[in-house]
Amino acid sequence: MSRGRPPRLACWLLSRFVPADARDTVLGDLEEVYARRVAEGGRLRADVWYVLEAGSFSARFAWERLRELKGSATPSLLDFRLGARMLRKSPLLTVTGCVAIATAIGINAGFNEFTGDLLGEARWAEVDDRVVGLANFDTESGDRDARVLADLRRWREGLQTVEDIGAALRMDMSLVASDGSTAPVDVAEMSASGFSMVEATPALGRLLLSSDDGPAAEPVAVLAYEAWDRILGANPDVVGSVVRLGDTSYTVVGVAAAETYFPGPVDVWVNFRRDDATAASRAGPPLVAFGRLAPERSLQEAQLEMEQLGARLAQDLPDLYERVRPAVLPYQEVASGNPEMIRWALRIARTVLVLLLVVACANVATLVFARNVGRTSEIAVRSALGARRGRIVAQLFAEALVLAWLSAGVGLLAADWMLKWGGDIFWEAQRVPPPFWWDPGMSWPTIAYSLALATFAAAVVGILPALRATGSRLAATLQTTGSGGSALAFGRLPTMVIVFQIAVSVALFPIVFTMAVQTYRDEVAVTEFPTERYLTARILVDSNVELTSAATDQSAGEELRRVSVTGVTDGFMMGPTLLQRYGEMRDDVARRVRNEPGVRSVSLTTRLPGIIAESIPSMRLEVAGEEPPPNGWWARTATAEADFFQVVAPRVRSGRTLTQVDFAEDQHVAMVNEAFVTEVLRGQDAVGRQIRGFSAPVPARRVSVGTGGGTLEQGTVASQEADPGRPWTEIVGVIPDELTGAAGADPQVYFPLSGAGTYPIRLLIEVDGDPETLAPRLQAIAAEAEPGVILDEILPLADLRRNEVLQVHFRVGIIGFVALVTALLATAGVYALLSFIVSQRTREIGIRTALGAAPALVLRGVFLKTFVQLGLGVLIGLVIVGAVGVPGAGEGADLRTLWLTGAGVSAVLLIVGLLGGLIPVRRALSIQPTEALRADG
Amino acid sequence: MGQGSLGEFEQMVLLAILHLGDDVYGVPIVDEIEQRTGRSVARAAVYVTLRRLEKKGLVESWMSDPIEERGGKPRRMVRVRAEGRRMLADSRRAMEAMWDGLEPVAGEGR
Repeated sequence: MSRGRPPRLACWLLSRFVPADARDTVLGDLEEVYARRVAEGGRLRADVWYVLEAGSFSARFAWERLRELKGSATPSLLDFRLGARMLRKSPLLTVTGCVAIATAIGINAGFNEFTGDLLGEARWAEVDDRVVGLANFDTESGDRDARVLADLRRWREGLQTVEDIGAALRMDMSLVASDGSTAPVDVAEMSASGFSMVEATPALGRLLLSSDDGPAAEPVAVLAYEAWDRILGANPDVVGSVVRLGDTSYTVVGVAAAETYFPGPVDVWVNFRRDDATAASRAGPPLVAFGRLAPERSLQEAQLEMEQLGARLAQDLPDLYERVRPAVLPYQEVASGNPEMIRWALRIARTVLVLLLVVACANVATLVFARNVGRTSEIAVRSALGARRGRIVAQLFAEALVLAWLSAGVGLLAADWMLKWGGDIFWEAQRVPPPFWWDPGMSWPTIAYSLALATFAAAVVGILPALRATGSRLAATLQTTGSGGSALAFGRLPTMVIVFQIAVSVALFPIVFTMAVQTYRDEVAVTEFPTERYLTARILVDSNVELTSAATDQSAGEELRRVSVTGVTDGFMMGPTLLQRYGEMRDDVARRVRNEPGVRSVSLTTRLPGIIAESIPSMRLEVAGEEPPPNGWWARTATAEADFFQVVAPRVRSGRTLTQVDFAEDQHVAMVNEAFVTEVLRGQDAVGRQIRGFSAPVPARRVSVGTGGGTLEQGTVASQEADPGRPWTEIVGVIPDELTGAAGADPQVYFPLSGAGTYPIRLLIEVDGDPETLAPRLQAIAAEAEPGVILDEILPLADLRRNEVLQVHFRVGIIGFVALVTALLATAGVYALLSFIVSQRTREIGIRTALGAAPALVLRGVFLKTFVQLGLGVLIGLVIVGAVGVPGAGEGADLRTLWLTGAGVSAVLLIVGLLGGLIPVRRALSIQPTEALRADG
Repeated sequence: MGQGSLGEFEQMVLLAILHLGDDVYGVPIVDEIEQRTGRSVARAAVYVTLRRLEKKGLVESWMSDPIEERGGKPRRMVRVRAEGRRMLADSRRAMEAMWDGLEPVAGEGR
């Protein structure tokens, strides 16, 4: 009778966890009972029983083994001293392992610290957990509706569980001090209770009082300590002075103590003078509402009460509130947009970085295992002399711990330095001072996190190879000790890791290297444009102008779209009224600047010459008489007014520049850059050709790094259909690429700026002498101009360019370094693999040679299999290179560099593999036949 | 649990072996405990305990000849050593001393 066999997986599990000396009897006993159960209850029930038993046995024996290890497995001081000695004895492993682990831990620590600092996580932790946010959510989309002015009153009256309810409106404004100095500032129009949320105190004068709230109150302002210091030079007589924000003058009543942080990083607080009693429901500006849980009340109770209030409101005003769910949440969740999403993104990013550490450690573990193989005899003898397995594992773990902690130290120092350097570059790129909590050094939590990671790394690097080296084959090793062989096998897993590693290296290094080369060439190549003669500034409008314009457009039924602008808190709600007002303000500012002494020319453009990394919209277009490629033609678009085209006129490559007549409404002309000619027109003459766009611009492909310009977030969708009704635009001239960046610039079309134009736009001012000298005058012009104008990012063009180059260096430096570490690891891994495999076969080679085999034949046998593995890794890597190409480079990818680097890395790995094997082979071939035969006996 | 005393489960396993007589192996020991206590025991716990008892020198084991019905796998036969018997007796004495005079009280409590 066939009684069947127990499930294979369960048998495999048992064979892994039950100790070798008990394995046969346990399996036999279980099989005996299994047969009985098959006969009694059928196969399925017996299978289930067997699987459960297998799990139970595995868990019990694993636990038992751990108990056995305990006690004997605690590393001693001597183990650590031995570990330090091993670092000196294996310099190759020490350097490779240290670089790999230090890089991974450094990246983890740096990312942790940078993102933590950037999001002000430490600051939020200081906000009392009884401070809550109140918000409305759309029940269908889940979006937060921040228009809660009318709800403030309802919440104040209807909620017993939340006290001190207030709200804040965050705004970007231009501050004009009593001495006429001007600066862009972050403003919070905030209820007085906001200060009590963080128990703020004044450094000078007073903070906001409840009597300051409401439409009847006089406008008053409280300055942040840092802004007071930065903008007003810590003027001690500031209390009582008047500052202007937009078109309203405020009396300064005090300066808040340093590091006051609510509802976020703010330069100036002004009193909340909005009338919530008469406000329309679900209308008004976007607010952050907050409050404090009443004593003895919990968040859950507050949520319940809020839901009841919401239900009543939905009954009373179904049109407005049927789809609204009001909620009470921890304050952080309301204050920073969608922090849950950010937290998730951070969690994922951190997990990926920990995986990077795991990969690095897996590689180092392979190297450590290869070294342990060389120490097999030592381990076997120690075992024979009575050292328990746990003791030996503890020693090897201690050795790994020394390496990992040393690496963590190196990684932390490097990350600390990189953060300080990178932080400076980052804030310079943002062109705002870092927030007061910004601390570029390593914090204690990050150091502790890194040490924990290092200990984890040591576990991977030390324990896994140690368990393998002290496994069941140790006894066999003891038997062969002294005969020059080793019973330890490298195993399938480390071999696979190395094949994987080679594939990754062959793929990653060329891709990253080419990206670096291309980025460098495209973005750092010297521009001939005389950047040192120019000053630039970005023209924005303040939040008051934005909100009133948006309200006008909304009541007229105009559709608004949100335009995100670098460095501006929430982006802009854009509509025709705002564009109209902006056009007037912009022209007014340009006119005033033109009248300044020492100014040669002033032009308005969305695209600064010589600067490449701007976030500029791309447009899909068609060319008259040309069949487009499958993905269509794409070009970046820029608009500029007539003076800009005069600035570029002397550099026009062919055709002509745009002149005043081209700016008439009925003129449809444009200029393109050289990259457009090469990539879109395939080198044909551009002048006279006709193009037209498919639709409105779509979001830029390149990520903004902070030089301004707007990316369109919503409201524009790339049309896949050409619009036959759109007029054709004639190309009249070609601009050199250096004006749009450098050699690798994207195709670009310059349209004349006419009518309302775009938002935001930049001033490009040519100055006699040092452009920096004009900067203070620009601020004064902003103060004199129509209220609502903000001039920010006032900088010499050369500084902007220098900053851009520095960012490229930083980016290229980091990716280049990661690529280098990957290649280093792969090279060391391949060397270790080959030298190990060949030294394993030393005896065999000796015997075969002794028996008269031709050395060439012997060598072929030894190397063939290994080179098949190496070749497989190289092949997989090259396939990945072919499939991935150069990300982000599109058709302009530098394929020559890519493939040359790919071939170079493959060759280096193969040569290193060969060298790794050659030394032991030479030794094997020189073995005397008698020696080989004696060893075998 | 120190070397000098026996845990409850260790006592059960030793007693099961004694009940079955010498030369027994895992399968009947598990059956015996289940039958006498009326509750199921984790089979793996019995095997782990047997290994521990052997390390303590309370039982001895040897391999049987390969058995065809078990796919050629042998049985690990066990026998209680004198030291095991002595410790069982000590454990029983200790428990009886603790119970002495309590039986009526404990019985009423149930």
